[in-house]
Order: sequence, then C-alpha cells, then structure tokens
Amino acid sequence: MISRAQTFGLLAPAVLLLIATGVIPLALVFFYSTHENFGSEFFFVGVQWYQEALLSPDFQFNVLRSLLFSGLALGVEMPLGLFIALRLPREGRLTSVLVVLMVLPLLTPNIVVAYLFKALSLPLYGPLTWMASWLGWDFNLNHVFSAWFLLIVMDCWHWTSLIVLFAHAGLKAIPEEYYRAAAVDAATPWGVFRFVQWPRLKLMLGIAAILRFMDSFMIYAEPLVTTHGGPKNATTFVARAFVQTKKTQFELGYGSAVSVFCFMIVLVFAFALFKLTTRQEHRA
Amino acid sequence: MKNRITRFVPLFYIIFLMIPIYWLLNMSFKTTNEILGGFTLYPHNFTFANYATILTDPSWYRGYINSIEYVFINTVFSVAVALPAAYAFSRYRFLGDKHLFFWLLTNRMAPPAVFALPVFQLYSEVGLFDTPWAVALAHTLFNIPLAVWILEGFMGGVPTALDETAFVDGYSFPRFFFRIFIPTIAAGIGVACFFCFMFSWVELLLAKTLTSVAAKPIAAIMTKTASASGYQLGLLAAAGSLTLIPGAVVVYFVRNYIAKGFALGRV
Repeated sequence: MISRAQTFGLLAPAVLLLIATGVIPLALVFFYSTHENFGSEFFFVGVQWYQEALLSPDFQFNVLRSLLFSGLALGVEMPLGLFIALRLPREGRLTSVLVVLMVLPLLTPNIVVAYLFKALSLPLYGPLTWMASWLGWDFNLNHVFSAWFLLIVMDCWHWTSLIVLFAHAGLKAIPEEYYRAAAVDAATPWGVFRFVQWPRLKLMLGIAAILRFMDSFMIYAEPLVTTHGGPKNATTFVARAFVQTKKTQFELGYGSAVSVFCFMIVLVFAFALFKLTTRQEHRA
Repeated sequence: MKNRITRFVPLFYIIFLMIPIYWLLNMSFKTTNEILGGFTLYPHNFTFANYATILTDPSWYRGYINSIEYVFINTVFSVAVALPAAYAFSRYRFLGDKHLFFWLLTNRMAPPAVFALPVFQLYSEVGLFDTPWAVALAHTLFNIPLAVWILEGFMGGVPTALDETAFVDGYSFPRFFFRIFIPTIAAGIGVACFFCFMFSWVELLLAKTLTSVAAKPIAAIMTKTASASGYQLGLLAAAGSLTLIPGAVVVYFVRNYIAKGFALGRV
C-alpha cells in the first residue's frame, strides 16, 4: 500500500498540468472580460462587456443558431449512432473491419471535412448537388435550407461514429448472462433494450452527448469554409463571432466576455446531463 | 422481414461514410480543371501531380511533420501523466475525490475556442510560441481528462488482489507499476492513445493560434493555400487524403481493443 502523500504525488502531475493549461488561461479570460484595456493598461469595468454582448441582437441570434444547430446535430446523431451500435455484431472479425471503417471520419481534421463537403456541394458538378438535382431538388448554398442541410449532414458524417463507438463500448460491458436471464424470462426485444441495455448505455450516451454538444455548439471551421456563415447570417455561430472580434485588440474585453458566457452554457448543459444520467442510475 | 432490413443498417451507414472519402481520393487524382469542368465518377486524366507537389515542396510536407510532432508529444505526455492519476482514482478513496474527478472532466468540456486568446499570450510570454511544445501542451487540456477517464475504467477491471500480491512479494511501488501493472492494462493505454491522437489531430483552432511559421500544422497550410490561390481543389484533396494516413495507421493497431469495447471510468 502507499501512503496518502504518495496518492497526491500520483495525482500531482496531471493536476498541475491542467492548472497550467486550463485554470490559468481561464482566469486570464475572466480578467480580460471584466477589464477595458488601452495598450497594456487595464481598467476594471465590471459587467459592461457582458451587458453589451448579451443585449446585442446579433449575439443573441448567434447563440440561438448555435443551440439550434447542436440540437439538430445531436437529434440525428444520437438515435442514429445508438441504432447502429445496437445492430453492430457483438464481436468477431467483421466488427473490427466495420470499426476501422467507421473511425476514418473521426480521424479526418475538421478543415479537411470542411473542404471535402465544399467540393461535394459545388454548383453543377458536386455529387451532392448532382444527386439533389436528380431528385428534383435545387440544392444551392445560397438557400438557407440547403446551407443548414449541408452543415447537419457534414456533422453527422464526421461524428456519428463517436456515438457508435461509445454505445458499442457500453453494450460490450453487459455480461452475456444478463441476456440469457432475459431470454429465460421471455423478454421482448423492447424489454431487453429497456431493462438490460439502457441502464448500461445511459451513462455512455450521456458522456457522448456532452462531448458532441460542446464541439457542435462551438463549431467554427466548417461553416467558415463551406457557407461563409451565409446566406446573410443564417449559418453564423457563436465561435465565429468571438474569434472574429478577438482578433482586434480593441475588442479583447468583449470577446472574452463572450468566451466566458459560452463556457458557462457548456458547463450548465454538461452538469445537467451528468446529473440526469447519474441520478436515474441510483433509482434503477 | 423488418429485422432483415435493419440488419443492413450498419452497411448502409458505412456506404454513407465511404462516399465522401471515395470522392476525396477521386479528386486527389484529378486536375483542378477536371474537378470544376464536369461530373466524373473516376479520374479521366489520372494524375499524380497533386501528390508530387505536396511531397516535394517543403512548405507542404513540413506541415505533416509539424502536426505529427505535436500530436506525438501530446499523446505521450497526456497518457504519461494520466496513468498515475488514473491509478490513484481507481485504487484510493480520499476526501474530495469525486469533486476532483469532476473538475478534471470539466477541463475536457472547455471549448478550445475559449482558450485561443489567453494561450497565445501565455505561450508567447514563456517563449514557447511557434513550437510543437506549445500546441502539445495546449492540447493536454482536453486529452488528460479523457485519458484519465478511459484508463480509470480499464484499471477498475483489474482486481486489487494483483497489487496486494505484488506488494506482499516485496515489489516496490514503481517496480510493480512499470513491470506488472502497465502490461496488464496495455489495452487501455492503446485506447487512450487512440483518443488522444484523434482529438489532437483534428483540432485546428489552438494549433493555428499557437504557431506562425516554424511549427505550422498541415491544416493551417491548407487554409492558407485555399485562400491565397483560389480553390486548387486537386491539391487540397491530395493534402486531405494524406491527413487520413496517420490516423488509419493508429486505428489499425488498436482496432481490436476498440471493437472489444472499452470500459470507461466512474463519473
């Protein structure tokens, strides 16, 4: 056995590194968000930047659009990923092959995905445009619906496999005996899902949902490349807005206030989901 | 009947995933004129010119080396500090352990975009700006929590009797940890490395913010080329196709671990 001091010794490298790469930058953002700067001199301004951001209709719409985008992306990816994981063979060579193929999109850098889907949706000769026109649909990124459709399909292509992997891992953690017991009790497929699989899956899906919410809420490169945030501002999301404003020195405070606000939204969502998945577990 | 159709759902999904990848490869062997000039299912004027440009021009291929460099440093670093931490969480109960664990996970939830500005200033201040170390360190923010969490799950599956027997047999802690424990959870280390690799490899915003010339990642080079010279789609497609290779190599090594399912820690 090792002593308590040694336990903290084991934790120290990870904790110290996270303080350096996480806590300190976050503190700095918080500092900027409550100060105004002239060159290198900072003056405390309280919640002025927050007020300015939260009261601006531009920003409000950006947040709403980001929430809508996350909602739609998760709304498609979660059920689809879960459904595929349930249909995936439990083990064997085929599963390995399928996993390798499924993981390929996950390993594609965001920016490559963005250019790829831009090429797929080129006017006239992009395969997506071509297929759409074959179906009698005038697919055009100048239309709001087409632009959103492209972004959602792109996100699903890129990230649904993450949900599949997590759900698959959750399913694999269920001992074979549980299924046999359910078969003895003549459980229906729905019963097996509800009482054998769901309790084990819930937590994994919750974590996957948190990861996906965070990344989709902060989506940046993909709309920038494919739709340039348009038509008009129809696909401009929060990350784009504050990355833009942060580039100019003058808007340091404003950009930081937006950052802090976004972090809060993600944290609240993560915490709520976390409570939801763990609370039900105690009851079940 | 219904069951027979749904059995093919994974297959349809794979087809959906493969079409864009096929198109990427397809475009990478075409000239930009052919891409923009018509709809062709396979390259009619098959060309290696795009790949030749990338593999002979240092301003292109340096990008791959830079990216691999920081991803490698990050993966090694994240897993190395996550291993002892995960061990502590899996073997000992101490005051505030749950809170500490949750705090750890909140770091994974912090959006990288939020950190773009402060990390630029911090890393410039300590002289790490435009080095692979800067990006590698910045990426530990989201990879350490993930690695701790995955490793803790695997360690939870190893009975504590293993530790106790080793200590009774007179193993010192470091000797036990490196000689016995690490080989036991090799699968977990593989899975943790895979996820660290993945999230560091696809991230662009921090990598772009923290580099300018010397350590520029391939993704940043792609954006620059795209905006500087119009859309040289053939070239971009070739560059994109090459970004798939390191990931494919990594996933080949861990495919069975991932297919078997990975345990995840408590939350």
